[in-house]
Amino acid sequence: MMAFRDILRRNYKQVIYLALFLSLAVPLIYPIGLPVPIQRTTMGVYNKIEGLKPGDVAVVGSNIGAAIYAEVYPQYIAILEHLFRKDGVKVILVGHGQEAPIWAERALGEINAYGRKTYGVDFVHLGYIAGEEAAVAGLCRDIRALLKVDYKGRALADLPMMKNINTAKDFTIVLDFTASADSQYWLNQAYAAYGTAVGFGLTAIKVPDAYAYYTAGQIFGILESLSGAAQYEVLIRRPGMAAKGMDAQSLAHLLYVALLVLCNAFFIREWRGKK
Amino acid sequence: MAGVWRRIASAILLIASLVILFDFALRNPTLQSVATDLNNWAVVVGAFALGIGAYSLILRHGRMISKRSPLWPYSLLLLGTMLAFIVTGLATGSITSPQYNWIYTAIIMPISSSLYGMNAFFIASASYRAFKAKSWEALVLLVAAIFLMFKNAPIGGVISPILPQIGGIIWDFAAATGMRALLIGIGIGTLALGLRVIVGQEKTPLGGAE
Amino acid sequence: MMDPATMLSLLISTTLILAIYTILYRENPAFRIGEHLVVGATVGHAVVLAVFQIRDLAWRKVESGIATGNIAGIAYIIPMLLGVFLYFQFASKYRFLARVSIALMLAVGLALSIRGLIFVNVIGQIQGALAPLTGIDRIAYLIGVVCALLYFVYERRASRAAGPLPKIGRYVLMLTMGAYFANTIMGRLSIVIGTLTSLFVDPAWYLIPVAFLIICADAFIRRKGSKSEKAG
Repeated sequence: MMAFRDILRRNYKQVIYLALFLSLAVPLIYPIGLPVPIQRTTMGVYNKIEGLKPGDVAVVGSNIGAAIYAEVYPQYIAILEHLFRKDGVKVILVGHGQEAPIWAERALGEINAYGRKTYGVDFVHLGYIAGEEAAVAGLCRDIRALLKVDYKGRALADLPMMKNINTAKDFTIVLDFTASADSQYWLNQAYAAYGTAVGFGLTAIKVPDAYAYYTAGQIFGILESLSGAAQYEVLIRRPGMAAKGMDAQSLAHLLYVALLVLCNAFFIREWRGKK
Repeated sequence: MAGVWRRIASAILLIASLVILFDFALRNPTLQSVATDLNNWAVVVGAFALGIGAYSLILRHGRMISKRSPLWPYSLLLLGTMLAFIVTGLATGSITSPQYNWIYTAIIMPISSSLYGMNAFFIASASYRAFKAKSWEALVLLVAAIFLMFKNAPIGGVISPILPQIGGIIWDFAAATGMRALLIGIGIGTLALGLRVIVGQEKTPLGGAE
Repeated sequence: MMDPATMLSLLISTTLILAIYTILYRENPAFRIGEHLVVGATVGHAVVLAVFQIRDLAWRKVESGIATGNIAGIAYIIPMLLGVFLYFQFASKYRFLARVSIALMLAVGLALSIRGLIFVNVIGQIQGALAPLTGIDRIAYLIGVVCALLYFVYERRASRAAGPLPKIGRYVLMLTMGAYFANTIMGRLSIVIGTLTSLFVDPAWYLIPVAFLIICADAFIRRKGSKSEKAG
């Protein structure tokens, strides 16, 4: 017993790491099936897309990368699936992150975009554009001055749907999927300059900032990390990776709460002892 | 010579900024055209900037390999991987070709996500060891965090419906107050610093501190 | 049945995930290999992108400008030259050339940020704070924003004008930091869940117990080694 307590005291880090690993791994292998409550920020995005009419243009920007794909990619797929179910809605995919085109093409493959819609008529992939905020500003002010070709090298002039789309005034909504401060770019360039409706799909760490924009009415909705993706999968009735992950989130969160409470319980005991 | 170029750089900084700022305010067609060109030129320069990391790495790790410093095999691995990606990307002509996708999925995806995710483990051990409420402010932070964790995870509502409700109230209050104040502060701070850089009061961005 | 290329990719990615996670045990060569691989790969990816971007955003315009006699297209040689100048920052004798390129990028970036942030972060957020004060909660929110802003101005300094408001602002900001902390945890956990989901795929998951065994063997050998050192 003493040896066990000794190991616990000396190797507490490894014990905690193992506990965290088990709290995440076990629910992934044996799902619990906890309910996923839908938040109003997610409903905001859903209702906006449901309200799109034939001829409306949805710009889907992204800065998805390997580091954050687990949080944002499930949201991205769910949103694209929803957009592709809307007849007549034009979708433009564009990336302002270096790995964005890879994830865009993967998502288009996963939802069978090329099989169910016509490229150049229903959707266009513009690829990655360097330049951070300047790239987004260039897209909002004059697409054809910035880009001559799409991601695959086809001339924009040859793509039927791009004939009537050239500035942010022609966009109906913009949805941006990112982890970093570049979520600000579409707000600054599309919303502030042209009044375009903007929504976000974000990693959890960026959600607090975005929520302030939401409560001020500057964005129409937010998909919050894996939880937002799980909620959206429920709304569009397309279960995916996100819904499975929420059980693991729950157990791991309980572990964190327990660790915080334990830490402070020991601290209070120490403090009382010194008194 | 360097002094003349520094003045040219400062002049470009001032004039280009003013063109883009006035374009937003005045909506004049000529100004709009010039602003669009400046914007798109900056995008092109930004594209060249993507290669700077490679240049710097080749210089540094090349030196380590040539001097056979202690960790030189790792430097060789680094440069070899870089070359493999460059050759594959340029030879296949696309970063979404099956071959490029293969090396991306095998190398970048698992390592990047693992490196980012490791923080979860470090935060867990810090939660047990370091996050002590030594002051009233720290206590407020921790209590808020705990209720918000019950709001974020579905299990909060299963344990008791009151937990996510309290978390929601804290979340709404924090968003409408502290986060708002932070965003206003960031906006004013960026405006102040930006104007100082544009008019030349801050010299360091253009190397004035040398 | 998985094809050999996909199987190989899966095994390599699983090995690399486990190699990175060995840092939780201790610093080791497997982790360093993973680190150096990802740095080289990411930078190589950036170079590939740079080539394609320069071709699509500038070179095509120059080519079409020369073909049609369009000056605006040919003028894209200037930003291409400025892009090359960026690399002179590594040469101490010609570093001044890089400043012109940096000046252009800085000018455009700053101007775009400033004009956006004024409307979005400053005016928009102030309007949000002053939004119809229809209930006690809205008034509380407004007081909270004012207190937090006063804390930014006064910090811990005593002020007769502001009174206790900056101190209240400090507590408001602690609530906000609590929100960031809780969300950071959720974010990082989501990433680990994604990684574990890719680990628990047949046949890759067989490598997990192998990795555990290697770590346990290493811990056992090191413990034995340190015991025999002490005995010696």
